[in-house]
Amino acid sequence: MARKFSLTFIGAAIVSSLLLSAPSISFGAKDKKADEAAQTVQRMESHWQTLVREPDPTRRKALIAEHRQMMVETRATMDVKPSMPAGDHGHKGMSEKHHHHDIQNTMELHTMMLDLM
Amino acid sequence: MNKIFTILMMAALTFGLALQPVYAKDDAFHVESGSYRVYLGVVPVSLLNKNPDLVDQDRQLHGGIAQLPATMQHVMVAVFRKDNNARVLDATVIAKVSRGKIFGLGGNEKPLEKMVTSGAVAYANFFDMPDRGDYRIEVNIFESHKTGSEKVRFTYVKN
Repeated sequence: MARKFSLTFIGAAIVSSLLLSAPSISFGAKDKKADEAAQTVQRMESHWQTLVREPDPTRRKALIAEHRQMMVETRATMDVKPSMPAGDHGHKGMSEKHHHHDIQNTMELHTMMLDLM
Repeated sequence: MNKIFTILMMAALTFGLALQPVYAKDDAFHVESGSYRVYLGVVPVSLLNKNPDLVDQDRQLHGGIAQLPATMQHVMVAVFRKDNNARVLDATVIAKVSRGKIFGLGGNEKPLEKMVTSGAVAYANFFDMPDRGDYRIEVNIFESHKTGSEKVRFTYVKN
């Protein structure tokens, strides 16, 4: 009896987990570019945090240069132009467009903060 | 027997739900409300070298950076419209920074002043964050043509 209950429990847990994760798996497969864009934002945020938390001025200066370079490269590889209007994303899907806005807006904010430093 | 089975099924479903990935991050620097995308930047005052221009050019940035204690942080937000990603240029933005575990309790509340740097508009002010650890930053956005306001919340970890 106990074995039957355990099997029922494990089975139901696996089935519910698979059912609920199906949409996210499907989303991930379809929207790889959006995922890459989200990772880019995360990488930039993480690098920014390292930069502002760096106590050594020389090392911080190097990190600032590195961050500026990172933004230049991101603009080039992700095809993100400064202040790109909403309609200028052509064929991009909603999610990809959303993440492109995130990259663009994050870079603009970082540029503003760098200009104060 | 049926009762036990139902309880087991409910527990299994809960367990299954708990296995789902958690997408929301505590330390996210951009969040969305109903109408806005809001981006947060926090820089220690000790790292600032330059006074940004306030939109009201007669005044110094938030009273000036010269005499501020090193524990002060420059809290800046950029606000964009969710529907077309246009920068919001004319909002009233109020921020509340607190150390409490629960949003809305205690804290230091100030308006964020509209400033221009690199040709772009953002809203900022200085807040004292004397201790290391988690800070809650609530940002309330008002626009004159809208009724009420929209609030977004960030958790900022100060090292």
